[in-house]
This record gives sequence, structure tokens and C-alpha cells, in this order.
Amino acid sequence: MISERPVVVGLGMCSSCGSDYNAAFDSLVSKKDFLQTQNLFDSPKHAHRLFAVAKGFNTGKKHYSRCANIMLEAVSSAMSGLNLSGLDKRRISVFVGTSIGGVYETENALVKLLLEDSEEFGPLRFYECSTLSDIAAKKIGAKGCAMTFSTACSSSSLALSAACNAIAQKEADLCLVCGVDALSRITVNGFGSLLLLSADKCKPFDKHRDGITLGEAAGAIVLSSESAAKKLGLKIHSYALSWGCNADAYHATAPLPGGEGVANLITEILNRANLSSTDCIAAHGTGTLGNDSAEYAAYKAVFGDNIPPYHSNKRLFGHTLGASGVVNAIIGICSINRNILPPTPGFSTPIDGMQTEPLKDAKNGRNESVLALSLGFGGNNSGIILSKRPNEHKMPFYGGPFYVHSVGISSPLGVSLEEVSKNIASANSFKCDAERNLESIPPLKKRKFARLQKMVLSSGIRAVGDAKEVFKNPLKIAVCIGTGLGMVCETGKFIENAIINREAAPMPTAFTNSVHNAMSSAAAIHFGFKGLNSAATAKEISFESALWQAMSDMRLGASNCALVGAADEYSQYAERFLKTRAIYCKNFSGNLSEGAVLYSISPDKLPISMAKISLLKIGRRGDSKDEEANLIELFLKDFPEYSNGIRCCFTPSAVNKFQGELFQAAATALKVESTFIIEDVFGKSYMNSAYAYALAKLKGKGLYASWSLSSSNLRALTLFEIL
Amino acid sequence: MKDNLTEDIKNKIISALNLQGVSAADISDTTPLFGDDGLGLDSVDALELVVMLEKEYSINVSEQSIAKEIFSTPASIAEYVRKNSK
Repeated sequence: MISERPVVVGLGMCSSCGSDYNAAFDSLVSKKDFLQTQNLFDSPKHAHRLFAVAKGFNTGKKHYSRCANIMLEAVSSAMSGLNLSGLDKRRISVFVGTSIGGVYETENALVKLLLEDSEEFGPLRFYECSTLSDIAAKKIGAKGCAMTFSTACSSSSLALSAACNAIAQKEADLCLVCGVDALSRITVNGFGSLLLLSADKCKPFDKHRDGITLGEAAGAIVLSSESAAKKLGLKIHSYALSWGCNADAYHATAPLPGGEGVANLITEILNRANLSSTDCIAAHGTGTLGNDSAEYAAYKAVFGDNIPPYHSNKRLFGHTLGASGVVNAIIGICSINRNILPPTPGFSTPIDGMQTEPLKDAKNGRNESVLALSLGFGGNNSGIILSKRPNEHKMPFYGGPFYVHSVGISSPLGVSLEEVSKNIASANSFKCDAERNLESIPPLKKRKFARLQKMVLSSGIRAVGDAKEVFKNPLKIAVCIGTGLGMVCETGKFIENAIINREAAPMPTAFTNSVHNAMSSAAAIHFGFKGLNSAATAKEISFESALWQAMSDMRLGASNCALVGAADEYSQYAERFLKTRAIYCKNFSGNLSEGAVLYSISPDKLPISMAKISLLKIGRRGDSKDEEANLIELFLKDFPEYSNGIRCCFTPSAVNKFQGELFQAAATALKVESTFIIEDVFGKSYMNSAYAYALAKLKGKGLYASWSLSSSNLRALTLFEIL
Repeated sequence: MKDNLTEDIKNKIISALNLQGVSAADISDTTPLFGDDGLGLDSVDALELVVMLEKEYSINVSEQSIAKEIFSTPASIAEYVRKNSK
């Protein structure tokens, strides 16, 4: 099938330069920064540091996090003037990228809990990054899929790629993409513990660079298909020609020194659009020793002596972490639309041996297309090429089914399908033994992994080992691991330590392991998988979100197989979060649980294939009583070959009577023979829906469905066949 | 005779980095801490050692570039501690 071209129809940004992105671009051009000390929280160790503190947003919404309020400012500005009344709301999707979401409010709640012994649980929920995509979807009335990616500094660039995929593959007519992060104790102390904070102001690509300046910002980009933009008469700001993501598979925080991963990414996305170069590069350029030299080495490897003019905006906006990808793209779009090659504030002396310097000052000149880059922890790289004009090249995509070849399980009932099968009848455990299946990892390496990473590696070793024939070309293997709460234990541990010890003796290893993508990058490093590497989060449908992302990457041929799954860990922090959150706070009963389930998936049918995935749909439920049935009818429209005779429909949990009724309504609409509530066997966990294929395999050949209800009213329908 | 400070540092490295199955006797004063021909530690381990020095010896290392030199062997750490102890 031939893809639709994604175009940019709306832009918004809120940063240290205020809430007008054009004014922010002017500040960049004139190299005027607004760095200052922060007074958001007490920070004895970093009181002298300068930050890019966000301004110009409405702080009035107390029931939202600071992060969400900054994001909403950017969203309002991006949506202003867009009349979307001619669009089906179900064809509008939302993708958010954030590294830490509303953790600032969570920290404040923890300060009260730990130092004042007073409990204010509400703000703990802001830790859940997926809250942001739900808030953004609600704001614009989107009823299509909504998910958040949390892959540290590349988060919003991954969100942008996912949105481009959704439009290219005709799954959405319009997508809102947001990148956002606010200042917090964990990032200030975390980057402080890595000795990565600049003593003064960051100096990107400079010989004397000494680290990053942290900033907070939100960027919002509205993408639509070219045809929808024309139909609605929307102004097109730029055309997305090519985009993509890959991984270094090298180290938890450091980039590959020679920049090979970034070079591969740039080459790949240029090739995909039949381009040999762009007019300008909006560089990641953070001002750390490691990043800037690796990034330059990548440019040199790809472009030789003809490196396009490149610049970094980090001195101005600070390193806005999860927001930086979208901020870079917005600055890139401004630069092409205004024919300006922007400067690199903070740069004065080139790195030794550097032949092509970054742009020191702004220049007028030809600027038709820009490559915006974003590089993150775990060697997580992402980029997009945006252009003033469309090109002739249209990318084909694969529209067929996917096959599941193998499964790896780390569950309270055992670490293999066989063990689960043996223990399922007498299930009464809710904790995993995280040390099993790890004999092949040397102790020196194993000691660095947190418990949840061990669970992921344990199931990964089985899923990869049982499908060796699938995982052939490391550059084309994606790793997508969904998670509801991410590395909540490490995050909690790090913040608690910072609060109690007043920022003395931070925990660098816990910080590097606190990012949601610490699981997927540990797997990528262990197996050497260098394709897309991601952590999607969407509460109970985190697994389906990860699966959707992996499938959309494979449909465009960016990867040709994937390790896909979901993982969540029980912890005292998880209990605090979940018991006060959403569906769990009402009539809470049952046992909080944990697990990691990974599958090998590709578009190829092989002799070892265990299941065929025919349909995956994600959307938001409306308010009518018959909505479950309506949504199913709508989802099945795209699957005319659907027939009755589904043996069993799985659901991750049905915690209360209301949810139970909704699930029954869905099962009736699907005309299934039986139902299976995964929580009844495994306990409560956001990762539960990942068990569906494994459980169906135990039941035997036939057609199955999975209907996942998320507590934020999202629904995911999967139809699959056990072969 | 064994240098007490260096032995002390070896034990603190083992505990700070959770080096299971390694004892101070397995590490010589000049064993390289990084790289495959030594203990095989990585850059994040070095940062844990920065925290260890601050906690145990009240010594502040704030620049990444210096950290590399200080943490090359147990002996080099001991030397830095001696020089910078107040």
C-alpha cells in the first residue's frame, strides 16, 4: 500500500522564552537566553545552577501537574485557528513524549510523606506519564488512540515518528504530538550525579563544553495527512519527508563514541526519502563531552567534508529532555519557513580536530529542508526530515498480518509457558523470582540491573532463544516494551534518597535505571538489537501500545522483526500509586502483581509461528451505554473477514461490577464462546494484557480476541489465531 | 606491608559497586578498575565511586574529566584521598 504524506498544520511551544514560538525563534536568532536559578524546590546542592524555567503558561489548574499545564499551553497555541469540525474524532490520535511527566508534584507529595509524615496521595498519580496523553486527548476531543512514550531525551521525537507512522499508514487523519518535561528534583540530582551539569551555561559543540543546562518546555505539533489538510483548507507549515528511530545498543547512558548509531539513523532516513542531504541540521547538541563529539563524528561519517550547516538551541531552551525532540522540530520548521540558518548560542571555540564548525551566528540562506535530531539515554536515537515542499517519493507500507513466533515469560506462576501451565490451576503467588533464567549473564553485568530489568531479560532470553531464525539483522530489530509505571522502584529509591539526605550522596546507577526505557535499552544492549527501541505507556493497554508501535515500524520496513512485550513490577511505590489511582481506588480488592512477557513478532509466517495477529485497534470509548458494542462494530469495519467462532476473549482486569459489565457487553458483541479475566489468575498489573497470546496458546488452536479496558477509557481490540 | 588506606578503598569499592564474589584480596593495588584487562567497571561505576569518596572521605570530585584519572587503580584513588584529605 502507498502511504499518505504527513504534513505539519499546527505549532505551539511554551519554554523559558514564553509561549510564542516565533518570539522564541527570534530569541534564538539574537542569541538572547533567559537562564536563571530556580525556586520551585529546595535544592541545597544545586542552588547556584542556572536553568531555563518555563514561562507564560496558566498555572491555575491545580488538579493538573506543572508539566501538564505547560503542555496545555503549547497545545492551545498549536490548535488555535484549526477548525477540525470536518474530521471524524475517531481519526484523531494523540502521541506524547516525556521523560518524567508530572514527577515534580509526586516529589512534593513524597516530601510531605517522608519529612512531614502527612499523606497527600493525590499528586502521586502524576508520576504516571500516560496521564499526559489522556489530558491532551481530552483537551482536543480526540477519540483515536492515545499513548505516551518515555524514552528519556528522545521521548517526543519517538512520539513524532509514531504520529507520522499513524498518518502514513492511514490509521489517523490528524495527530497531536506533544513533548514535555518540567524541572524536578530527580533530573537535577540525577544529571548532577552523572557530573553532566554545566557549571555555568552550556556550550554546545565547544572545546570547553562542560555539560548540560537543564530546561523545561513543551512543544506541540499538529500533523495531518496531506489530503485531510487540503480537504479542511489547513495551512501547511511543512512536509514530513522521512523519520525514524534506532538504538546504539551500547551503554545505559553514554553514546557510542564514534557516533555509529546516529550515522546509521541519518543514512537510513535519508535513503528512505531518496535524499542525499538536507540544507540544515537542528542538532541534539547538549554540550556534554560525550554527546557532542559522538554527534559530530556521526555527521562526519555520513556527510564527509560536506556536513550541512548545523546548530544547537540548548543554551537558549536548556536541555528540555523529553520535550527536546519536538522543540528541535519546531525550531527546524521556523528556520526553513523564515529562510534563516539559526545560530548556536554558547559556541565559540571548536572541538580539537573539528573541520566543520556549527553555525556560530544566524545566517540568511537557502533553507528548504531540515533534519531535526534527538538522542537519548540508552543510545536511543531519533530523527525527522521536514521540508518546505513535498517530494515525489512516496513510501510503500505493508498492510498484512503479523506472526508471533516465541514467548518468554517472567511471571508469579513461573518463567516459561510450561511452568505457567503447571501452576495455573493452583495460582496463589503474585511475586516473580527475578533471578531465574539469567545464568548466561556474567555477574559483573548482572549486578547493574534492577529487578524489573532482570525480569525483562529473563523473558527476553527465552523469547529470543526460541526464535533465533527471526532475529538475523541486528540493525532491523525493534525492541518495544510497554509499561504502566516504568522503573518505579528505582525512581522512588532515587527521589527518597535525595529528599532524606538533602541531595547528598545521590545514586547514579538508580538514576540511569529510573527511565522507562531502561528495560528496552537493557534488552537492546544484551542482545545487540539496534532498531527502534521504545517504552510506550498507556495504563492497562501499555502492551497493545508497544505492539502497535512495533507493528507500525515494521509496516514501513524500518525494522523487519521485533521483540515486543510489557513489564511492570510490584513495589511499595506501585502500591501507593495504584491504591490511590483510578480504578484501583474504588472497591480495591485483590492482589497487586507483576510480570514481564515478551514475544518475537514479524510479518513472516514461519514453521515455528505460534500465532497470527489479524487486527489491532486502539480507541477511546464514548459516553453512551452501548459504547462498547459501538466501538467493536467500528473496529471490525476494517476487518471484513471477521467471522464468529472466537473461542475465548481475554481481558486484563475487571476490577469492579461496572467494568465487569462493560467487558461482558464487549464479549457479547464479539459473540465469543468464553471469557478469561487475566487478573483472576495473575493478580493486578498494568502489564496483564501481554499474557493473552501465551494463555491462548495453552488453550490450543483457534480464533481468540483480547479486549483491554483502560481506566482512562481507552480500549484495545486484538483478534488473533493460535496456529 | 599492605597499605591500610588502599585496602580500605578496595573494600569500599566492592561494597559500593555490589561486586558479588570479589574480595579485596582479588584486587591488587594497581589493578586497572576500567577496561577488560582489569575489573571491567564502566563510567556509571566511576560515578558511584565519586559518591563513595564524598560519603566516606568527604572528598568532592565535580568534573568528569578528572574522575577518569583518579579512578584508574585502587592506588591512584588512595593517592588522591591522601592529597585531598583535610
